[in-house]
Amino acid sequence: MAVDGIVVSVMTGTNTGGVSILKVSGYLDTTTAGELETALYGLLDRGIYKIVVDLAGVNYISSAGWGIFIGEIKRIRNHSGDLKLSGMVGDVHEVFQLLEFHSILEAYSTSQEAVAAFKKDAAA
Amino acid sequence: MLRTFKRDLSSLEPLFEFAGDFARTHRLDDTIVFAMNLAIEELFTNMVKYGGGDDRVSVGLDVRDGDLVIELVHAGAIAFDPVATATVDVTRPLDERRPGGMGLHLVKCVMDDFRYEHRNGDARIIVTKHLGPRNEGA
Repeated sequence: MAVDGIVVSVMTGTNTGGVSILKVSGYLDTTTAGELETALYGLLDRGIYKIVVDLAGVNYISSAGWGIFIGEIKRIRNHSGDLKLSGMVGDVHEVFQLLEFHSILEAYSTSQEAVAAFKKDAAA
Repeated sequence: MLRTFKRDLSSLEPLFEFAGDFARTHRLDDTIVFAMNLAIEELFTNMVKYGGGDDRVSVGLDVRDGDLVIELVHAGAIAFDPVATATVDVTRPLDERRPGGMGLHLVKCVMDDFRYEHRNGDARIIVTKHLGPRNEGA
């Protein structure tokens, strides 16, 4: 899995209404999870707490990857933010359900839908 | 197929390559490969973090009677039965959730059988998964 590694890119901008998108592709395992963690901490350290993690390009996540989301979600919500997931498909989405993360994290089909949900939250 | 790996996280990459070779040889479908890799990673990582003992772990992969069989043997390991470990309660609210235990929970979910033996100082974990009709040729 880490054979192919992961690529994490960060998109921030006014066109997403202040929401940052972490776009991840590749394999999220014990050896690569640190890259996502570093990117996430980079946003949090800049005071960015509205985050979409786009997992459309990810076809494997082990507990090391899921642990990052659980580890930081409280801190993010304590700053009136949220972390929403998007684009999960196939086996990745199945594991998301096995862990019953749907009771903790919102998930959307696309990153655009996740960004729109932030706007809806703000308007509520 | 049987191979021995250094008990270190740096072994994960060659371990996945080993599993990938096995999957291609047996033409396993993507869902089986996903479960196989998840089980291997979670169990091997546990042995690296908590096992003590020898600095090598042998990993065997086989297809027997329509089952994928994964066997990890760690010589001189501290006795710790992951099968008997309480399953993490994934229904708990966020405040009560902890990252620990998720890996073993996932192994129990994606595999059909999970056995542990500690004999003569060696820890042996055997997990199996039934192969569906798409893998009959395996």
